[in-house]
Amino acid sequence: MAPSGIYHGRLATDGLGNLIADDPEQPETLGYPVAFHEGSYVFVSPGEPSHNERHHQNFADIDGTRDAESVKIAAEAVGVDPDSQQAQDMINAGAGENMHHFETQPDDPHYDEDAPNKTNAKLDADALAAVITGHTDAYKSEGQ
Amino acid sequence: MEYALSPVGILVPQKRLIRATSPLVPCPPIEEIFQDIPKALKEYFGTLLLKPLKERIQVLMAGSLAFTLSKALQDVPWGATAFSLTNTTIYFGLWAAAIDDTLAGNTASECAYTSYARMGLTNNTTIFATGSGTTTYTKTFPSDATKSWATSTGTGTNNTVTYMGILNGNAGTTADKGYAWCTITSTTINNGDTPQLAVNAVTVVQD
Repeated sequence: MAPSGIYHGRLATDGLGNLIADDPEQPETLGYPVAFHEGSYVFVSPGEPSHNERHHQNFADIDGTRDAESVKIAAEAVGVDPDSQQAQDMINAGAGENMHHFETQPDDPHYDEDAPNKTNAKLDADALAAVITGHTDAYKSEGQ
Repeated sequence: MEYALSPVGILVPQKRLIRATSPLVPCPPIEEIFQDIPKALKEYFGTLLLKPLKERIQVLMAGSLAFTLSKALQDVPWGATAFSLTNTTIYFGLWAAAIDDTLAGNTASECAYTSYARMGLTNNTTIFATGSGTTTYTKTFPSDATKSWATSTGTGTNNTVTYMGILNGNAGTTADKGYAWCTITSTTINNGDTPQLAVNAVTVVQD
């Protein structure tokens, strides 16, 4: 029988627009869809709209960063003039834009001037890391 | 060619032991295939050969395999150790700060807009289709369709994302081992936005 009511635990997305319960310590609810509703996460019954169907307004593409060199190579490979406007419009890294593509930037929380790659990725303690994101506890007081 | 005198008095080419002068890097005799590849690709190979070894291995993404995956891959052929990072689901996360080869499930500054959760994709050849190429092997994914993260229902924290990390788990702790990471275009996820990954948006190249 599908669970109902409020869910509390780790969350995942299945790539299809469903937010799902993903807490191994709760095998009875693992994989069932949930949705944000009035400050909580509730199980979605069969036939009800998914989390994304309830809240979606716009898409935000997660896009790669492309510098002049990679665009030049790609353009020539497909027979496009690398100096054409079409090719130039593909560049989204360089000249002050997306400079993190080339090197970790000084305003980055993980910037470390002394590190070889200018990066010192910080780690959270497991107990904290498990709940500060990807978990229903992370979003208790926010949302619509 | 240098020559030496054999024990029976015949002049023979002098044999020398082959000694390693660099790390072992399997490489085809590239000049033999130059006639078959276009000019742009030749220039690309030229650029690659001038780069440090690490950048040659992962150069088309501004990213890399994580240490844990690199180790697991090496252990398979050398010692016939079973691949240690298998998982039926591979998780894609977004970060608002630099991540690198040390990526793990508890790496700080992971995106936390309201309702954010890592995107879990079933680890099969429908989504991660067989790649192409021989001298350079390229995998692109997701192979079947655009994939979506959960729609944002509030700003939360770390909602301007600049890096994407791929892991083998979703515990959010050190139990999740890093597969790979890359830079992405700086993107702010606002309330009502659904982050999505286009078909074949991710390319991983290995020579």
